[in-house]
Amino acid sequence: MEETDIALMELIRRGDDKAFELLLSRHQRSVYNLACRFLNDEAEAEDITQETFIRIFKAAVTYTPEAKFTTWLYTIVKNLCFNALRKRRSAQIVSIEEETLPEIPADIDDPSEIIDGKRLRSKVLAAVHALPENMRIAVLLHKFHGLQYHEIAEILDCSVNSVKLRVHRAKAVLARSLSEFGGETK
Amino acid sequence: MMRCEWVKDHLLDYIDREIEASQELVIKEHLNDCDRCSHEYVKILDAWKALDLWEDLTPPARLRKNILGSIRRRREIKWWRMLAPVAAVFLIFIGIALYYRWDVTRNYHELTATNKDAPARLHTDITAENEADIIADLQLLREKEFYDSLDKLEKIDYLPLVEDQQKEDEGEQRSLLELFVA
Repeated sequence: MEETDIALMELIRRGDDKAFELLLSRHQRSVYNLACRFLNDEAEAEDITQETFIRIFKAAVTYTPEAKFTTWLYTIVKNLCFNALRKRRSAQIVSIEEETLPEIPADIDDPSEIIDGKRLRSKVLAAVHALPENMRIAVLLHKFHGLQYHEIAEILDCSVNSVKLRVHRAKAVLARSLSEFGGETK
Repeated sequence: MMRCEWVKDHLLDYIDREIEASQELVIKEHLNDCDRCSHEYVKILDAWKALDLWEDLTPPARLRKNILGSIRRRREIKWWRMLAPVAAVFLIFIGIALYYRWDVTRNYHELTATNKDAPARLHTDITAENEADIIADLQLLREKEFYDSLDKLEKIDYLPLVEDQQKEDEGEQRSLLELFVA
């Protein structure tokens, strides 16, 4: 029977390295993708993923399961992402236009679809990155990590209604941004 | 028009299925009839669905290696951190012991240097040749100490010497005897 995350944390506390490796295997991908989507920078996402798991390891000694493990995990990722964004802004290193965009899926055969697919994807990414950070993280956690509003509220330390409002506004903004794209292709 | 505004305000709750059944029915019927609201509804759904184009990335293999390497290094540092206080206490004890030994040796040298009347060098290695010398030195020291102490005692006024006391006693006895004889 698979160990729960909390059981694995207890094993890590007792010095079980295998338990840590299992926890890492379980959550590394989702942590990496959350950081990558939020910051749109793979190198920074790697750093944040590494830092997240180091913090988890260090905290294992005093960890008490007050909330769901993933809530605690994503809270750490969120804090690190927000810090990275602030550092980036203060350094004024990268603007959204200069950030590299990921590749389109390979299952589109029609060249015109490929161009449209690329453009749509670019628009989607640009639209998400234009969202304020609190709205962006709510959208990413809800859409890509399947978190419910109350879980996101715990991570963002706000009310459920606040989260709902952010996600709703984000959907409206995205719809407005992409409707322009829909107009261009017609 | 009023209905369109109301539907627009509740459209997102309708999409999230977080609306009362009666309200859901009203919105559904309106969307069937109103092109504008229906278009708005489809726009929002398409925008949310477009996010599916944003695929998950596979983390690079080095990331896992780097994380596990960091953890291993932390474990090693932890051991050093536990040993460091023990080593520090041990070094302090060694330091105190060495200092004490140095202090005792220094005091010994000071004492032997300030005692001018003492033999210039005390024999530390006792051999057949120097044993007699050592004994002679010790005897000299004892005699010297004895006469020094006598000198000190003579200088003390309130403490009569045994010889004077004997003389006094003899003198008293003689005077008593003379009385009887007389």
